[in-house]
Amino acid sequence: MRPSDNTRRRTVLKRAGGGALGAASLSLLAGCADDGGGDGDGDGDGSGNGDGDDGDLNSGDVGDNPVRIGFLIPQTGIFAAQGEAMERGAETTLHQLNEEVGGILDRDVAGFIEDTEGDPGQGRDMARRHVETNDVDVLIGAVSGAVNLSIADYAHDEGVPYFAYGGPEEITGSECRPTTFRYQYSDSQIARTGAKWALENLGENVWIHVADYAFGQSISREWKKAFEASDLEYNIVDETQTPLGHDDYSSVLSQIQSSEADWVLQGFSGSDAVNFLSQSTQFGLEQDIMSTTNTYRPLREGAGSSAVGTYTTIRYEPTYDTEANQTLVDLHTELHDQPPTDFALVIWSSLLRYAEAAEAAGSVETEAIIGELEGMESEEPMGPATMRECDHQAMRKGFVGRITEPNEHDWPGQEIVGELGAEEVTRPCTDTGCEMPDL
Amino acid sequence: MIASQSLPLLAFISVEQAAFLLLNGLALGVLYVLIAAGFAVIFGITDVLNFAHGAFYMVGAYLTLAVVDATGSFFVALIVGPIAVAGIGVVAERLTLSNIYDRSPLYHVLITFGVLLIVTELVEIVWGTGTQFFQTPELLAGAVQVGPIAYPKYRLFTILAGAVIALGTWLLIRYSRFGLILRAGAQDQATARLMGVNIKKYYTLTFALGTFLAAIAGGLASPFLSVNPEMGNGALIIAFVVVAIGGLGSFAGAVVAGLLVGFTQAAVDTFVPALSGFVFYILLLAALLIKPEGILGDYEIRKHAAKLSYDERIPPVPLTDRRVLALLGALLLLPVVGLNTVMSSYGVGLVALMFIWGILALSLDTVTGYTGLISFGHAAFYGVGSYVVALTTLNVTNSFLLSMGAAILVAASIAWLVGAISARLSGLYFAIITFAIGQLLYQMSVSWSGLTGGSNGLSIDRVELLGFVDVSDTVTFYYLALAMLVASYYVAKRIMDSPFGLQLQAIRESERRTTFLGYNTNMAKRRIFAVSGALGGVAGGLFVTLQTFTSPETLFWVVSGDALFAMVLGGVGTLYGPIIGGAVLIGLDQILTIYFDHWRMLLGLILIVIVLFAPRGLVSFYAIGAELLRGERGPFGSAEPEPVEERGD
Amino acid sequence: MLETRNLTKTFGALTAVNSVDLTIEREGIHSIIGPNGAGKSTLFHLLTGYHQPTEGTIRFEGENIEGKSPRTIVDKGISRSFQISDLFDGLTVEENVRIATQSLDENRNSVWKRSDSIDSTRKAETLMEDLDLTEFADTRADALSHGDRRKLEVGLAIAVEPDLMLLDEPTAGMGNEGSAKMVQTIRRIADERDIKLVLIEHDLEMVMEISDRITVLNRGAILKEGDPETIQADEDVQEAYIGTGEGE
Repeated sequence: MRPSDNTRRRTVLKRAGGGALGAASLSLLAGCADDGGGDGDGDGDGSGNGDGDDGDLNSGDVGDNPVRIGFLIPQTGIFAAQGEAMERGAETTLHQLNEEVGGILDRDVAGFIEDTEGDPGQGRDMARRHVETNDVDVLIGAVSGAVNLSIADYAHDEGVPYFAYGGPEEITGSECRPTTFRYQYSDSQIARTGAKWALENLGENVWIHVADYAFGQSISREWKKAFEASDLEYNIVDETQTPLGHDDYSSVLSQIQSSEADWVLQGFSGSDAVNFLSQSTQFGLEQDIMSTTNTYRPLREGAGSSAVGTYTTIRYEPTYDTEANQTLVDLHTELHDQPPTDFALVIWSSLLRYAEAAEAAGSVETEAIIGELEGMESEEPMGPATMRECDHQAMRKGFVGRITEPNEHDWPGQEIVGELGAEEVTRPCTDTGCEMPDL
Repeated sequence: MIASQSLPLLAFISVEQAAFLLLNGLALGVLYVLIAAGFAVIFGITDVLNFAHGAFYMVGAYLTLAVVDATGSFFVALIVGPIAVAGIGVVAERLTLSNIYDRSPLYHVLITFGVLLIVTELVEIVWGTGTQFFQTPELLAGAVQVGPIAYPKYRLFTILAGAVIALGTWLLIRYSRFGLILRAGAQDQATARLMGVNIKKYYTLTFALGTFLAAIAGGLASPFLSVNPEMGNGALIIAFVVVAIGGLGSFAGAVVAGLLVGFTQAAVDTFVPALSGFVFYILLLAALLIKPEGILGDYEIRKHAAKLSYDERIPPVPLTDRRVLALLGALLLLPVVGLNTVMSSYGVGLVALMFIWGILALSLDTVTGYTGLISFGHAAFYGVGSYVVALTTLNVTNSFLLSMGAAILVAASIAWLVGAISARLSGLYFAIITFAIGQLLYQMSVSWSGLTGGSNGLSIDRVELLGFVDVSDTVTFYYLALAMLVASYYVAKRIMDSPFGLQLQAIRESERRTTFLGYNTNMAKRRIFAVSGALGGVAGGLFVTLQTFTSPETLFWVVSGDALFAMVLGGVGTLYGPIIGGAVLIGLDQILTIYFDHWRMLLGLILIVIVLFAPRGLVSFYAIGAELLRGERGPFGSAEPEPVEERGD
Repeated sequence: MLETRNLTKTFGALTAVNSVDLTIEREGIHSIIGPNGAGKSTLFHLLTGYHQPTEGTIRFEGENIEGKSPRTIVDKGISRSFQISDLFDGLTVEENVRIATQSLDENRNSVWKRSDSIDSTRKAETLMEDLDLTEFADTRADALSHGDRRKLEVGLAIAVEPDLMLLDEPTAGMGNEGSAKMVQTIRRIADERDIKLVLIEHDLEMVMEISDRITVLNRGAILKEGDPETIQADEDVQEAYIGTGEGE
């Protein structure tokens, strides 16, 4: 059995014999995902593992009353590639919880996956399916900021803890919720990391170019705040935007080319970023490029050699030397034959800390969990982290890296060129705009 | 702000800027010409709006990439890849379009939409959803000095290659025997047949040429526009806009319009970047208002090409029909009996979603099924309805009655305007314009994040019916949606039974004749469009009430495609069929995703099968089934010769 | 009744109608004949607003109507039929006629009344009887025989109660016997309803028999005009027909 087949959400429903209307469904266990063969790229079609059609799978593995975790993952749609990485992280973490940690409160841990399709409406709908049909104790996941926000809002309505993955400031800012926690960096943490380092190392003249939608606008906003917060000299030569999905950057590239800018802040992701990088290479752009997204492997795979030499804030680096990272890398590589990604990291940190909070509280009751998580300090793969009480944002060190020529893989690698302290990169509680509502 | 710093006055731009502008515009323009050329060729000759054009463009990029990987030569790949795609195009055409050229363009649109779904999913299965890296060929990497500026070699190559391909195509159509026959066939099929030409064979060849051009555009674009499964969407929009501006079916028009759009885009990107996402739509609307037939459009859509007609008339079922009453009774009882026994409240919500899609498909049927206007932009009304309810609830009042009233009003007004702009145009232009307007609104909803929340969408808390009934409660909502569905159906049926409704059907059958009987058909079209928009707005308003959330996805053109699919799946032109279709589509969505990640491929297959073998959709199965039961029809669907005595009167 | 002055229509390099001065009097049947491509149908298209004239004027009952839309011209009292039947194929004969009669009904744009219950429905029934189409009331138009389709084609033009009716080859493709019967029916109804008839006809024998006045078009221009005897005797007319090989 391929590991990835286990977590196909619909497989679960099918095996449970439940109709589309979701009368019932059962869990999947990471415990049987010990195969480790296959590249886990999720190209299985999710059908065809015809064993155990009786709806009682995992009876040997799952206790009567497992702790139920609802994963929200874009399995289809434009974030599907990221979704696959997330699924691998989910499997790895469930495996760790059941096999190494020994479950939560002596109960097994069961995971359910629903497909957000990268769409906020669908994401909210699937969160609802998790809560109403899968009866989960905790929600985690979603890639796009929009989906994160819509799920966070729903989770608060239902009083279910939610570990967000997306970066938007509002998640732990103006839209903060007592039920929402974020081990992922916020956009402002990323901006403060990158802005300070770039002004010190690349020059003070910056050209900002972003995609004209929530993500790009947030980058532009946060980096400008971060420039200001850095107390360094800076000069924004110009700021330009192109619509989401714009595919030709010749006009803006020719303007940057002939400007006095030292470096460009590139504020988009996905294929837009790939286009921008490959076209800037064709134009022979002399300016340095700084981004927040080039650290993502799918992007490095897509942009290939045109990403090499650009700078990026780094969310995760498998070779970073800590004990916690070694555990994560070893297990993930064993299960999936490839190193973990940022997606795995965030799920790993979130759920292990959730488990720790539940053990400390002696229950998975939401209020108790929140109480334990607030202020929790831990050693994470990328260094120490503190879950801040005022906005539920994890405080972590910030990293800046440079994209390098491919070494051990087909795609370009990255090296860490700068490291900033957690206090330095996290905005003070007073600036967050978070007024924590009641549960 | 940025724009005001560099006003588009030529006097103020430097030589370098001018040179960049010229080359950027030319490179873009040539690419647009290439993308649109294949689309224009296919349309000009077969009258088919090929919605799969973008998909073939995308496959072209992937196959070119695959051949590069295999052979290492970009130039070989640029020929071999597109030829392979042309092969795929031929197979697709033979299996689908080839059988239905004589049918209404509605079916052409749908069947190519089906091909698009299948091709896209196949690509995702083979290559995954991520963006692929396409290395710029060594020879063309980097920049070269052109006059005062350094310009990418690859772009210069694109300009050259594009020009050569466009010229070659023009020469082929203009001077070869193949071209002669194609043009003759396009003018008059009967004459072409007299010339002893197997017109179908040439249609297939046309399709091969069209997909080849799409694919070579894809291959040529991939080193600077990334390769991913989404890339076809943009290309499809470009093809639509360029061809509509240039004049439907005019190859020369496509060339002129492509260059025009390219230069405008480059200039707007430089001087007014805030508008750069709207260039296509602004140009298109301007062209429509100034010269609706397009720059070089002396082409008139042939009558048969625009008409939607049915072999069999299936009248709408009255609400008082016993079967309808029984179904309504069952639906009324469903939440009472079913909740917490056979279904969760999620399930109840799902059935309510079926009602919503029933209303959406019904709204489309009034315009498309009854009036014969193919709207590929009903997402516009759906999305607008959802946004108006969301915005009213957030900013004004959480009274459902008021926000829904506002949604109906706004959606109807927009629809009326769309009707007013496009009513002069018939048939396929209508599909293109409605598509473009839908996409324009989509673009606006993404960009104007101050109002719409941008791609984050808008969340609302709860909506109340009269200040106290909470309609966000799933079961309450269920009954509300059911009531709205019944009311919508009643209104639609009433309209279709009226003198105005008869007028609409007359327009569908022959707009020319309707005009010559003294009717103001444009007014009728505007009115029914407003009615249809209002119903679409109802569906959208209900959707946001159910989900307590809306996002630009509600305005995306795929929603329009799905609505058309639902309409035809159930039974176009029957009012009740589309409702069934909407419900079944939602059901299929839920069930197929359980078993199959790439469920949209199955939807594509179902769509093609329906179009080919059951053009009147599911309601015709009911009729066939009933006849079978009564023994009036042979077991294999074909009617047996009827006994003589049953004929007579 | 109707008067054109210098009426001209060009399509690119082709002059389809060339400076036509046509006068149609109130009394009698007026026929327009001429070889294929003489511009007869284009002339009708101009008179009914389907094409806009390149030059010239059209006066109907003392009012200029050139450049007006087909709809306005119908309202002023000119209706027409088409050479190739243009019916509402997917609808029944009864609905076809009802759409036409309904166009004069005050409830024509009502969205709430039933279309088969408004006053004009009665008129539709009468007209079907007059045309002898009652037995096909529930038959789809595309299922009718060719002859009945031609009858319905003319019926739609009659139903809008015109003062002047332009019929473009009403008997096209029909046999001799059918044609004769058809013409008889048309004349009867036109008489009863006081409708002035202008015909385009190919069948010269019939034209000579029924017409009070004949205009001969050739290459877009008026070649001759007069009563049937004059036209029959005219050498130029014979020349034009023989010259293009279109004589009958």
